[in-house]
Parts: sequence; structure tokens; C-alpha cells
Amino acid sequence: MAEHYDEMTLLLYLEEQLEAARVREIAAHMRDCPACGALLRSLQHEGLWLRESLTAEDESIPARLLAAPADANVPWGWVMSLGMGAAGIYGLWSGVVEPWQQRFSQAGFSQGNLLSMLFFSGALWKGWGEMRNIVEIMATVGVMLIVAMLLRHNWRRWTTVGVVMGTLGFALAMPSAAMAGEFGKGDPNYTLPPGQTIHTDLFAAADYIRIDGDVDGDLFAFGHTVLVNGHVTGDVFGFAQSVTINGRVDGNVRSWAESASIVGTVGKNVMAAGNSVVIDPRGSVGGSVTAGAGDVLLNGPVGGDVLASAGSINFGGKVGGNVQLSVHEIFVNSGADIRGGIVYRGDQPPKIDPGAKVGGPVQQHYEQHVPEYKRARYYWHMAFKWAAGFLFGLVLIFALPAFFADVLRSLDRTGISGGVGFFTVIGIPVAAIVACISIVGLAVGISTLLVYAIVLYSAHVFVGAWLGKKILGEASGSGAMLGRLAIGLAILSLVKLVPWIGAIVGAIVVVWGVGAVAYTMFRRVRPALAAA
Amino acid sequence: MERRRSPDGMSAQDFTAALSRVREGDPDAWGEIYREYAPAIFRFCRRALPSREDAEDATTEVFMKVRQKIGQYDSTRPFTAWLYKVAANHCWDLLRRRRIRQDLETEDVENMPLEHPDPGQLEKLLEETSGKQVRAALDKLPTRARMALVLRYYSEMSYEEIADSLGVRRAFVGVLLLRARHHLRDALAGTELAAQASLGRS
Repeated sequence: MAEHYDEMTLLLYLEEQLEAARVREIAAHMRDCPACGALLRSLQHEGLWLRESLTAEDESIPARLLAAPADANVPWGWVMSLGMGAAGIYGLWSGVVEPWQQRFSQAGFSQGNLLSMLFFSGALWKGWGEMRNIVEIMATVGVMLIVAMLLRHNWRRWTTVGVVMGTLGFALAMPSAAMAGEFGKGDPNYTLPPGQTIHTDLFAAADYIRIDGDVDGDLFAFGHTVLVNGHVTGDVFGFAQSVTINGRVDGNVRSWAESASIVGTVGKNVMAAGNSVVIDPRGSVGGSVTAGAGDVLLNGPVGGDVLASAGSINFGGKVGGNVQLSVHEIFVNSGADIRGGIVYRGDQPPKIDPGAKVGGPVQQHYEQHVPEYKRARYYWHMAFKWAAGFLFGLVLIFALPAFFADVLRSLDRTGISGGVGFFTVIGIPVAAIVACISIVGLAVGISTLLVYAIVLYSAHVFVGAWLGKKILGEASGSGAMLGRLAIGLAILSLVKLVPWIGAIVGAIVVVWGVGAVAYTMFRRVRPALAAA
Repeated sequence: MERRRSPDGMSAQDFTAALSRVREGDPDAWGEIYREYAPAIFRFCRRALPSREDAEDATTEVFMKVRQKIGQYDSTRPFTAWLYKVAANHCWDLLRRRRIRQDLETEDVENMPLEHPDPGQLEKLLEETSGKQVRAALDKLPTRARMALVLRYYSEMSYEEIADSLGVRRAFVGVLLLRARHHLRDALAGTELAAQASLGRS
């Protein structure tokens, strides 16, 4: 008797894939070989078992598939999204970007100056109030869409994503720039002559800015030297090497300058950051002084409190309120009159001249160290972060289920995800900053940083879901995956409470999660790149 | 041996009539065909793809393709064969784009050890395993192995059709199927039974 036939040959025999001569030979062998006959019957049984298992109609058909598509060739969701997106982009461009461009060019700024762009359109933008409203509206719309997605299974996910993105784009275009102001361009100097009054906000950009006239509004000054000799009814914002207020400011003075000097009158508060901050004996501040500087000299009267973090501070005038300091050297000179007390945090006690007056106690600040985990607020914060992560994961699971599952699979490949993550976490911000520095890549750089921030945040969500999956096993649906996400995020939150270990785990989670996302994205675009 | 999974509700004459009307642009006729075949294609996609959501999307996309290409359909051949072919190509493209574990499989296809396993072990596994467990175990299979099983044992494709869909030589389809069976047995036997999963291979 010939040797037994191998499994491969018997399977091909069973599936009628062999030539006739070979079939006859095997059939003859089968009559005399019980072992091969038994294996053949088992393979046949296995084939039937596979057919029955695979064709079992055990799973319900989704409702949206049961209804015939009315006309599937027209993706109305995408048409609407693209339309809204296009309208949004047009609105954003014509309503915000273009007017700003004109104003910038009038003021002598080019688009390539990143810092000026950020200052103008960021911190000083008066549209933040409206933007906050828009963000609230967007959040509300987002929640409504999530609810709609949960309730309507027959809504295509990618269409949903398209609608959301289109709506957001449209919403972004809605706020109009609440900006009205006079622009003063210097070449190289700008001067507002005495006797001249500007009845709106003034934006001045020049090497040397001199305000001898009056500004009935706020003054925003960008330059090398800023000199305010006139009267400003609003606030003064100075970004310069040197800011000097010789005149009168009814509002606040906010200064980011190498040196800030108040020789005139400031009605409200002074907040200054730089190398030196000086209140001249001839000057006065109606409100409080907040300073972060190398040296602070307060020789003129200050109506309110003084809060300072500095290398050294000198008091030579009157202070109406209390003083809180985090300063290396404190000098209270003979002319000083501090109505309140002094609380300082530093290694040297204040050097108080016998001729100085201090109304309140002088005491060193001892901070009782209360561990974070002993504060209830800490746990509220943790719960809030957990909820935020869960909501973010919920949106991902319902909007991008396949991508979510892919990232979890990538997390299984710890080596490659960790390696990719290490280079991505470091490399992307460097690349984005390089792009920002170049004029052409400004928009690309900022967009990349935004996406990077989102991916950084998403890392713990993906790792949390992966952890939950490992603990509870594979998820059979979106609901089960949400449960795993919730548990995984909770475990991560608890681990992060542990000193040192929590920080290390947090860093690993970020690198690993970002790597998995990057690797998944790469795998998805690789065929397209190859095709291109 | 061609036993395509096809619905029983629509007769051949009804289908031919509906197809003619579809080609004339009748949307109602397309609705009839869609309702007839969508459940079967959804189940096919569900077996081939990792998640229910993927299968839902894939079903919709397959029927969009079918409607666009209906003019290319050769009426002398079974409609289900053509339909499954489109679905198989779509699902395989989808999986290939994701590159799920595919890299690990390519080298193994042509090397199948010649073995004579213990039928008793195999019978025991078949008796102790439910259909639900088999379907769940599909998720643990390499992509190509999973597709091969689904194409052969769900949609009853021939070796030529499987070779064409998966882009392998026809001569290696048998190897692919046997290897897929081994993967499935291993997945069902579990890690602790990994040694036995070889089913006494000599």
C-alpha cells in the first residue's frame, strides 16, 4: 500500500481540482486506506461546517440597507457640505482675511511676520467675545449631531463627517471682525501731533511712536520706542523696547517692553513685563501694579496693591494697598509709605529704612504644601478630563469606526507604533515651526500644529480603548467598544495619579498613541501614494 | 459545483425583466434588485470585513458600483456570480488599502507543508465549535486567509475566480484555502491548545 496522501492533496481531490488520472489513483487508494478515508471525510465535514457557519443568517440587516436608495448617485450630504464649506471659506476670506490684509499693509506689516500676525489677530482681537459665542454654538451643534448619529443609524458616517466639517467651516465664517480702528503707519516714525484727536482705537506701528495728541479709545503701539505724551481715554497696549507714559491714560497700561516707565498719570492699573518697570516720582497709578521684571522701582504713588515677581524691587512712594512679592531683594526706602502689609516669598527679608512706613505686618509666605490628591478639586478635574476623553472617543467611534479599529490594531504593534510615535512627537512640531518661519508655509505650519494638538490629545483615548479591549476582550459593537473605552480611560486616569509613574505612563501613552495614529494614517495613504 | 448563494424571492424571469427596466433607467426596478440582493451582499461583506460598520458602508458602495457598471454585465452569466465578484473586489481593495497583516502572508502562500493530520482531533474540534464561534474567529485570521474562506465557502467561487480576485496564481488557491483552514483551527483551538491545534500533524 502506498504511503498516506497529505492533507493538501486530499483537499484538492475533495474540491475536484485534480486531473482525472490522479483522481482515479486516489480513489483506488481510498478503498484500501482507512486513515486517508477518515481524513477525507473530516475535510469534507469541515467544508460543510464552514459553509453552514459562514452562510448562517444570524445577523440582522441594518435598516438603512433594507430600504432601496432613492438615488444613490447623488451624494446630497457631500454636496451640501461642500457648498457650505465653500460658502464658509469665501465668507471667511472676504469678511475677515481680506480686510485684515489691507489693514496690515496700511500699517506696514507683511503677512510673513508671524509675531505681528499673532498679536494682531490673536490676543488683541476684539472678536473673541463673538468667537466664544460661536464656539458655544458649535459645541451645541456638535452635541446635537452626536445625538442625531446615535438615533439615526441610516445616516452615512462619512457623510456625517462631511456635514459636520462643512457646518463648522460655515460657522467659522459667521463672526464678523468686530474691529474698527485707525491705523498709523510709520516710515520709520509715527507721530500724532499735539492738538489732534483720534476718536477711535489707534493702531500704530513704527520704529518710533510718539503720541502727542489725544486718543479717544485704546492705543495699540508696536515699535522700538513708544512715547505717550498726550491723553488716552482707553487702555494702552505697548509692545516695544521702551514704553514711556508721560501723559495721561484713563484706563490701564499693559506693557511688554524692555523698559516701561510711568512718568505721567495712569487712571487704572499697570501690568508690565520686561527688564525694568519704573513708576517715576512724578507719575502715579490709580489702581494696582502687576510686574514681572528684573528690576522694579516704585517711586511714584500707587493707589492699589502691588504684585511683583522680580530680581529686586524698590519702594520709594506711597502704596495704597497690600504688597505681595516673590523677589530676591526688597528695599523699602525712606520715602515709602505702604498702607497695607508685605507678604514676600524669598530668601532675604525686606530691607526697610527706618524712615519708611509700613502699615501692616511684614511676613514671609510659607506655603503649606497640600498634595494635589488631597484636594477635592483635583478629583473633579480628573472626572472632567475623563468625561472629555470619553466624549472625544465616542465621536471617533461613531464617526470613524474603521479608522478607530485600525488604530487599535496598530497599537498591538507596540514596537513600530512606539518608534513612529517617538519621531512624530518630536519631528512634527519642529517641521511645523520651520514651516511657520517661512512665509509660504505659515498657514500650513499653524494647521499642522492644530492637527498635532488634536492627535496628541487623541493618544490617551486610543490607548484607553486598547487597554479596555485587552481587559474585556474584543468588542462586538460600538456599545461594547464604548464600555471598553470608559474602563480603559478610567484606568489610565488612576495610573496617572501615581507620582512619577503616572508621568512616565502619560509620556509613554502619548508617544505610543501618536505613533499608532501616525502609522495608521500612513498605512491608509500608502496605496494612494504608491498609485500616484 | 457552483452553488451560488442567491435569494429565492425573485424568479429568473422577474429578474430578467427587472434588469431590462434598470437598463432603461427605471429606478423602481433597481430598487427591486437592490432589495433582493442587498442582504446577501451585506452578509458577504460582514464575513469579509472586520466590522459591521465597514460591511454596511461596503454594501452601499458595492451597489453603487454595480449600478454604474450594470451595462458591463453579461446576461449570459449568473448575476450572483458577477455581483459577488464586484463585492469581492471591493472588499479586497478595501482591505489591501488598510494593509492589515497582509505583509506577513505573502511569503507563506506558496509553501504549504505536506501533512497528514489526525482526523479524530479535527472531528472533535468540529463537534465542539459553534457557528457563532467560527464567525467570531474570522476576525483573528490574516486578511487573505479570511477572504479565501469567504469567497469559497460563502459565495461558492471557483478557484479561478478566487485567484483572480485575490491576485494569486490559480495553482496556489488550494494552498491558500488549506492554510486558511489551519489558521481557523488554530484560532478556535486557542493559545493554550496551540500545540494540539496542529491536530497531530506528523
